[in-house]
Amino acid sequence: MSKEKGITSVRNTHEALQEKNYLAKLNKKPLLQRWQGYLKLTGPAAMEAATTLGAGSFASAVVMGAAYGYKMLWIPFYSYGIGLFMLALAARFVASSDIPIIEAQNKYHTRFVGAFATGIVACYLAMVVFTFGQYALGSDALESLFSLVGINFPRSINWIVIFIISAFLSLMYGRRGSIKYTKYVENAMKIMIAIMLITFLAVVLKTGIDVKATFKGILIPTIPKGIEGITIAIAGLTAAMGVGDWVQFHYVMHARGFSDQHEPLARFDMIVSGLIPVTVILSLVSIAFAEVYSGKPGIPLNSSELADGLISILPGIWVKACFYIGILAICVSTIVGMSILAATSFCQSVGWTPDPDKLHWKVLILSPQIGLFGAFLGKPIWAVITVASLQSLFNWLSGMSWYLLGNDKRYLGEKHVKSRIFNFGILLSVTVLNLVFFTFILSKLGVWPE
Amino acid sequence: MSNTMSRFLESVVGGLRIRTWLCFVLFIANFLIAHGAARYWQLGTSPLELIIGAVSTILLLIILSEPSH
Repeated sequence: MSKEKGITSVRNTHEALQEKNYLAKLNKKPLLQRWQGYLKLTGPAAMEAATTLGAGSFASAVVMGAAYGYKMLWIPFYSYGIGLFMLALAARFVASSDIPIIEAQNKYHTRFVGAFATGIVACYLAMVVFTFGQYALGSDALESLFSLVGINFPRSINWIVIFIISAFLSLMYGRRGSIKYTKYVENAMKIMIAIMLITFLAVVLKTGIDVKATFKGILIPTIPKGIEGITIAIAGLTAAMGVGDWVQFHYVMHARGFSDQHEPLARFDMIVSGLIPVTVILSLVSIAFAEVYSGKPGIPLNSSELADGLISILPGIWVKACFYIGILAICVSTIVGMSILAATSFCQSVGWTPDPDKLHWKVLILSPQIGLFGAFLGKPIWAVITVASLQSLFNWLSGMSWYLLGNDKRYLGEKHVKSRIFNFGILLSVTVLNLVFFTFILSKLGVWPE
Repeated sequence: MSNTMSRFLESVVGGLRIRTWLCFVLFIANFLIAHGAARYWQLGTSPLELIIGAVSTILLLIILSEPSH
């Protein structure tokens, strides 16, 4: 069966059914025993978190820390926190229906909403274009890492290392219809997240940290008054979580064979492997830059110059190396996550089987690797602006469609959303996406500040 | 009281079609927030549009949060 349908139908394999039976028993056990059991089975949220933790969120954390100190640490926590409702909805779709989300959107809300707005714009095009930024940052970090020991390993050559690791892991995903290979890749992503945690913690231990200001900054949101405040709030709430992240989480759960018994595990996973690492890693990056730059006049405005400034004050070669290795882990893991999402979403949009053993999958999963030109040219600004504009224009449609499907008995039967709080959280995400759309249009009309 | 409110909200939201139309009303309410904020802070006009947008958004979020039974 899995041979016929690819990563969206491994839930009936022997391995998946065995896990389902184990979870049916585990779900009835006391809380601590359940959590202990769930810990061994986490993974899909790590895939999603590793994709989110990319060059874009790194640059944003760098600039926010340097410019605002500890005040903007709330952004990743609240952005991901509100996004949890959408991830929980993604898990509900997997747990309650055999129809993957883009197919369901095509069926109930037209192909324009499913295949075009969600599959092509929010996922495929975005993943291809945003890979340029990962190669630009990753190859820069690799060059700087080798220069620490006096070796010249220029970007024009070192991109090959990033390419080999990311292409190997991407092609490994879901091979031979086996969950085993999917788990290999998930574990590789977990290792890279652990590397990010350890390396950035090492950096912060050297730059210093104000623990009280950290907790205050993460838990209590502060925004400037007036229109600047609204702009920062909207940008902040979409910073760590977007439509691509919901879709990613949905399909990687399918690829792991998740079904009805997996919903509690998915909710546990999205907090333990998603919310916590994303908040901690981005906070550590912001804190390092807050400690070095905050309150100082005339700080650089771009993340690359800011990073150079941080490196110059870090003592010892190992701490400097840690910083660059952390950045490399960010870039490589994001390229892998983006490649998998690009292939899955494209297949779902055009009706092809998302089968990792088929040639079309291999071509599609390698297509975001065109971003390797980022090592030579940097980010193609025109492409990034075009895709970001398309996302601003169409993401609200995907959000509304997900909310409606969550309340649609034709799709979910009696497992449709029955909690007011759940629906409210989903609608908050939809409202933020609506506001992104309107502020984008109004800024183009000159009514809203750019 | 809570049950009465719940029954009322459910009768308002009703089926999927009404829920869909209310989503578009929410979309318009969100436009009023963005446009009203821009007019109020950029052009210094009355905040009425912003207030109408914010109040109707909150009301619609409450109504649309009601699950179907």
